[in-house]
Amino acid sequence: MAAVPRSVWAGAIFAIIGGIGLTEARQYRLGTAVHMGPGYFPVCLSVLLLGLGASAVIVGWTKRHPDTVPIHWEMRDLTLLTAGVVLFAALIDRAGLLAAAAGLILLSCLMRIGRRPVEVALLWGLLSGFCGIIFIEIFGLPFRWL
Amino acid sequence: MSLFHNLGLGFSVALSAENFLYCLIGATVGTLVGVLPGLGPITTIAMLLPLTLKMPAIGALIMLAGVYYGAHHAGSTTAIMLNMPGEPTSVVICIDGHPMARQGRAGVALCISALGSFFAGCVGVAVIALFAPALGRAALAFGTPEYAATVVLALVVASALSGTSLLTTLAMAVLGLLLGTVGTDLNTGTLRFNFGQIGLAQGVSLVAVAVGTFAFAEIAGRMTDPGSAARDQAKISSLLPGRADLKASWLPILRGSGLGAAIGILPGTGPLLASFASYAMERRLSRHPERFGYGAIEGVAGPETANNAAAITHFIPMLTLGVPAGAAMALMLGAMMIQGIAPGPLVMADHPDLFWGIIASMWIGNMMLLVLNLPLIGIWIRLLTVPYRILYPAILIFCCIGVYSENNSSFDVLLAAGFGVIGYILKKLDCAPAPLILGLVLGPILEENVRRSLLLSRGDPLIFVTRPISLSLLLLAAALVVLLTSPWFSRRIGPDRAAEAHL
Repeated sequence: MAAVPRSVWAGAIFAIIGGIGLTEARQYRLGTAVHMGPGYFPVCLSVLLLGLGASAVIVGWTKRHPDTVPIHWEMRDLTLLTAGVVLFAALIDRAGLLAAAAGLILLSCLMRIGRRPVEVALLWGLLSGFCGIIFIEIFGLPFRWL
Repeated sequence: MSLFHNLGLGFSVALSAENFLYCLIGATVGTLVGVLPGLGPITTIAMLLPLTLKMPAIGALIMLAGVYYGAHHAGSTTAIMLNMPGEPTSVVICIDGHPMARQGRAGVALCISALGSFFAGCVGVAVIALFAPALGRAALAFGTPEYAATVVLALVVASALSGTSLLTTLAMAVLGLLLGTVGTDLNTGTLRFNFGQIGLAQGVSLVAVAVGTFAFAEIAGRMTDPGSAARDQAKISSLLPGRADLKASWLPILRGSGLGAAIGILPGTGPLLASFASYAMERRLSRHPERFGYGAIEGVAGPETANNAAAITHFIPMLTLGVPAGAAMALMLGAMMIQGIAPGPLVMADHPDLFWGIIASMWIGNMMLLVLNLPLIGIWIRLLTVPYRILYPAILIFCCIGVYSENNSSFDVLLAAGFGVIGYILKKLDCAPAPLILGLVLGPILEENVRRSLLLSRGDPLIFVTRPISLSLLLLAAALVVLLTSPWFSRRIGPDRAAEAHL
């Protein structure tokens, strides 16, 4: 599939989002141009997005070029990073900053191969300590150490 | 007389010990992120935005403004020393700045760019002080169709500038507008696109989207990079430019300031376009265009000056109209609204201390940057040796805490994670995130103004093209799109692909 330009994939994504938006927005009252209902603007935007996406697919498809550089996906890094952030979100209310930071830093550190455990532990200690002092003690943000 | 009175008020605000400190913090943080590749002003402002809740409004905006122009000021340092642009706007500085460094003239390049930046900062501040009040008064004559047209201008031009295919970048902007409709409709109280999530009732968090699409997507795609280890590093010999250097630079600096200040005012453009346009102009005007690319000082002086003048005048649409001209200004507008200040032409009249305080602080901030950048250059260069493996966990944790603390909501952190994935995929498909952020902020403004315009015209859409100001704004948008996407433009001035990917 290397011959398909990126704008085709991007266009497809936009068209799908536009389609979902249109299905959802049609449930809101449309109103008229003089008295726009809550659905008027979202419907217009969804149609516009659908149209732009579809045009990008068509234009990109007709301009297909055999030597389009294939995309390099860093799936492992993206998964680790996202999992780390999700873990942070799950832990920050329940278990406090130290635990949430531990989850985030541990998972994100796996992105770089060849890290020593000492380095990870040091990073965790320094960063969570620094953030705790600044954000909890000085700024008084409402989350806990533990 | 009122100008001096206003500037006097501004300086009395900006020189108070507290605001002076905020300005210093902003300029220092800005220099730091300007020097560090992979950490830009947009990510930084997004991270700091929630913290400004606890600060006074003036101090918060002075600090965030400092981060913005500080980053643009310092981005050239790494471009000259390491051939590595600290900010996308410094890509052009690499072309001639780094060859100068390799010829042992790094100090001269740094000095000229610092002096040029300072001069541009002064010009930019003068332009704001002189023209912003007039623009603000003109803006009072703006009706809702004119606002809608200004928003369209900003979105269309920003899209035309930020990618390879106008269709997909426009789609990014429209997606941003659509995201802006999420949450409670202010007129009817209807919940839109909330998909059963209470966390979305207030709308999509701007900070979460900005952090996800800029910071997370960037970090996930950066691991395979060679890293920020100092490579190809040049030595600084003498800082002082010679008579010949000054003679060659002063005209480009003057031209760059004028060009940059003018480009910066246009909604949707900004420092990136200014620096490219200035480089193209200097090469055309030069009697020896063949020296460009091999260490011509004009190729550093002009673009670097234009970049900084535009970074300052970029504030004008946001401050006078309440319509942000770019993604970073969209975040600044968010900061203003968090503080309970309604953006628009009335800011100048209702909050003169804030308006003039920010302007005066920009001048003071530019003084600070001169000191931060020239004598302390060695410190910043040494910072570059901080490896990315240490840097990115720190960016991640600051981002997570920043997103969480805007609304004390872990849902927003999940949202940022989701936008990280979406932003990463779209970035790989050559869709730059800046139009999305701009659309998200401009969405509610556009909807409200379109709604009122159509109410006014009894549903006749021709209202947007029958009013002269509105029509000229829309024509300007169309003309700029034709110009910016024409093959002629991309051959001569067009930002190269590397810069676009980072915008």
